[in-house]
Amino acid sequence: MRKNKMATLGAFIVIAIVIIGILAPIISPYDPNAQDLYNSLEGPSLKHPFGVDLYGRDILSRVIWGARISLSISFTAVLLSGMLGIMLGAIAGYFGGIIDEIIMRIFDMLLSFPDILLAIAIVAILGPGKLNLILALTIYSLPQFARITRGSVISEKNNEYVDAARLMGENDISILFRYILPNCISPIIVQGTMRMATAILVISGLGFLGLGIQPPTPEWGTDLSVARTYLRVAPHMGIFPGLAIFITVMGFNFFGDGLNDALNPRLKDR
Amino acid sequence: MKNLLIRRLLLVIPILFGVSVLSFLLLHLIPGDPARIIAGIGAAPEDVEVIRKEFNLDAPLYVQYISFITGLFNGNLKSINTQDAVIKEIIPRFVNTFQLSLFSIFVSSIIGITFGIIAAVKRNTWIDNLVMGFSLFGISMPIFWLGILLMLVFSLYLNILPPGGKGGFQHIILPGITLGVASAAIVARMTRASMLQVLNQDYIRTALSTGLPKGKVIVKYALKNALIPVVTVVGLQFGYMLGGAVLTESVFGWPGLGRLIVDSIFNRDYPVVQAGILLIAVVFVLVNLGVDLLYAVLDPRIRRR
Amino acid sequence: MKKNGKILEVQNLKVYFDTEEGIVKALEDVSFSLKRSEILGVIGETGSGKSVTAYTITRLLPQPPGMILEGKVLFEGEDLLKKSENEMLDIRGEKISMIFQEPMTALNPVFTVEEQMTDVISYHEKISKKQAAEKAIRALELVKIPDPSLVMKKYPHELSGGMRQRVMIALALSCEPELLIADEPTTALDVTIQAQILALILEMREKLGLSVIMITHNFGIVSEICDSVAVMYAGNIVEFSSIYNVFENPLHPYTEGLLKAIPPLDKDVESLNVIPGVVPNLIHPPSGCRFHPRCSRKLDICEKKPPKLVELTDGHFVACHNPLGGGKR
Repeated sequence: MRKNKMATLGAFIVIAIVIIGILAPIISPYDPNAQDLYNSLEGPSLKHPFGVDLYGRDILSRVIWGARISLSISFTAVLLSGMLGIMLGAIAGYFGGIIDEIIMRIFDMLLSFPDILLAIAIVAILGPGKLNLILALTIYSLPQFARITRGSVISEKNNEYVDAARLMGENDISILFRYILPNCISPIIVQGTMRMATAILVISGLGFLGLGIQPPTPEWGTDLSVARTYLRVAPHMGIFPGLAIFITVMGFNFFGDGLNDALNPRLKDR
Repeated sequence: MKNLLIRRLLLVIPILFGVSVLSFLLLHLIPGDPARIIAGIGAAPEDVEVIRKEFNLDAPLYVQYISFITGLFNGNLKSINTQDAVIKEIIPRFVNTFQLSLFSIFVSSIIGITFGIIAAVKRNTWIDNLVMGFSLFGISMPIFWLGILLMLVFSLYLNILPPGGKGGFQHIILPGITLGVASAAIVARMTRASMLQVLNQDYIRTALSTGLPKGKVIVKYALKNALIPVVTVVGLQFGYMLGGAVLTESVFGWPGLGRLIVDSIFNRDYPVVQAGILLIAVVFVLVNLGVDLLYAVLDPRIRRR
Repeated sequence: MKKNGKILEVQNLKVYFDTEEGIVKALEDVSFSLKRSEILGVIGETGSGKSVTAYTITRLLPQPPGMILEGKVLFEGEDLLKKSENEMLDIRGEKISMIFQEPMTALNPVFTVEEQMTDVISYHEKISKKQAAEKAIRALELVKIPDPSLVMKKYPHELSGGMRQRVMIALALSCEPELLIADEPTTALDVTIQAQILALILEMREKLGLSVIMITHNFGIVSEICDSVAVMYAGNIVEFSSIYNVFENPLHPYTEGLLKAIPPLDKDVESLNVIPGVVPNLIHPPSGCRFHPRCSRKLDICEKKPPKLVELTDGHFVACHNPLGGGKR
């Protein structure tokens, strides 16, 4: 019961943020980059509900546009890493043997760089920027998708329906993609939702370190790193972009958690 | 036990090798001429040649790899910025990161385990709901935002803790909490799940049937079983902290290795970046190895195999 | 205090469970008694309420979802249901002990036998761990474990199933309880080990004057070691008497059915006589006598009124509107 409510709340948050992101050009009250140096660092007011930043830019508008940036980058990266990861994981799980060993050992190595460090390393190679960020996030999420897919493929591939398909003369590729993978889809979807949450955290984390989206593009983490300097005079700068990250990430986490319970009824009481 | 140790060690060696190769290749994966990248965009051709010589960039890759690794140990690998041996730069910074992570994992484990047990014992009551609700908050919290909020409250408004830097004990409190909140949340969830499972086991019923008080049964008989999987999670979290500390270090100006790596990326001080990333990855792999072995020590069923 | 030499009297127990599906009426009007040094078999199918009865007696019933609504459990004349949890701690393990079905999982996997035994002994007897260890070794010797000091240092997974059950019994008997409740202690063991464990329980009764409640679904075990037997069906005691009475002269149709279901050695297993129908759902139990949908001797009244457990002949209790005539009525 409680879980269901959380999942609904999560879905509601996610949908709301997606709509905000899509409609950013329409609903944003100001141009996120329009400067107004006379009102630099002003706190929240009727005109600017979230206040303005150092250059007098409207923080509400920047938060709204930030949703667009964060969601588009994380969605692209999760989609890319999902497709690649599923493919590699499925191949590793289905064929096993040396292919499996090679693929999984490479992923083990990637996973040896804890937390955000892998993304930092990749950005160090490629340099900051939107495309590089997407690439870094894709590589960052790849091992997770591959592992999940590999696990489910291995547990599915010994089922009778696979033998039946083989007897009917289906080849490996068709068995893998038409018969096995559709049965592995639910943990992958859950993983995808959870990865969205992580991706948003990593984007904003890199932004905060100055390694992500570069100013003046409105990005929550980048804006927060500027806010840190003016915390004493303009604390509102440090609150709203962070709140936006927090709520978005929580939405995806709640949603993923609820999805997990709905798709794996066995785990319900855990 | 001995076999297990050997098997695990053998598994770790190729991973360590791979990690070191990856860190080494970092510089060479960047599109363009490594010498030019190190020298900077506006560098004169002569300077680029000097760098090429100094870093031996014309040699075959495997030779460069070997000199990277040996240079790390004998101090020949030098920071471009300070001309100090890289190893001398990164070790003290790593010690700071380690300190912070250790403090953090200590606090977050105690909090996480305590609240996980309470939530499990009081399952489905408001206490359980509260603990689980907070843990979901903790997992969703962006670490640097939490740091900013804590700094706002405790340093700027209440003025009871320093906003950053490294010094006495009070300097580690805010960064330590910031870094630990997510882990405390994860540990609490894991402890609760594990404890719930153990409380349903037959041996708990046995222990209760022998007349031992419920408190003792929970704290001794249930907890030791329940903590075995939790230890794994704590170990993993500790490893993650080493990597994730970079954000906390940035918020609070904590002079750790993560920040050094980020600063060096901006300064294009690649030897420091490479060595720093390698060090954290190696320690992470070793921490995981330690967790595996600790698991075996705690669970006699694995130990005797 | 020891009137009639009865060590345990269970009177009119009524226990329900509050579950998501509804209220499970697990025990209804359960009464029986046990004399000192007697072995009582409590027999019934899975879900008949045998184990719930045992856990109610020792107050280990998880509450919630369990609810003890009515009844008394008089142990040496005192009502255990009125005791505080603290008072129960001095009864469990010290006066009433339990052993369980799965020796595999009933012992804690991460503590040695020594740790588990000395903890209990030193807690109850207020003696040092060292003294407790000596006592534990004596208890292991008592249950005929070869080389007890070696076994003390072992973890449960290093022992065989039979050994684990012996350790379990030693743990249960280590503080010289008066009553042992054995919840299907041999079900998980193979036949030879089963016979050894039963022989051991009989021997403990002889040596220690132990009273035993043996919970089982196997009439073979009852016939081997019990003095009296209580037959349970769907949360009721349907028949309760000495073993002689029940075997020679069953009064309840259900008991008769169970006795016929014991595979006789000289007949083919295929001719096994099984009572038709299934154990009822206890959220919506049948009206009147809970056995009536499966009963071959059903009368009209059986659907309407639950029969009371009455003493039909001397010491022979039955809850049935139409008991079998077999003998003096």
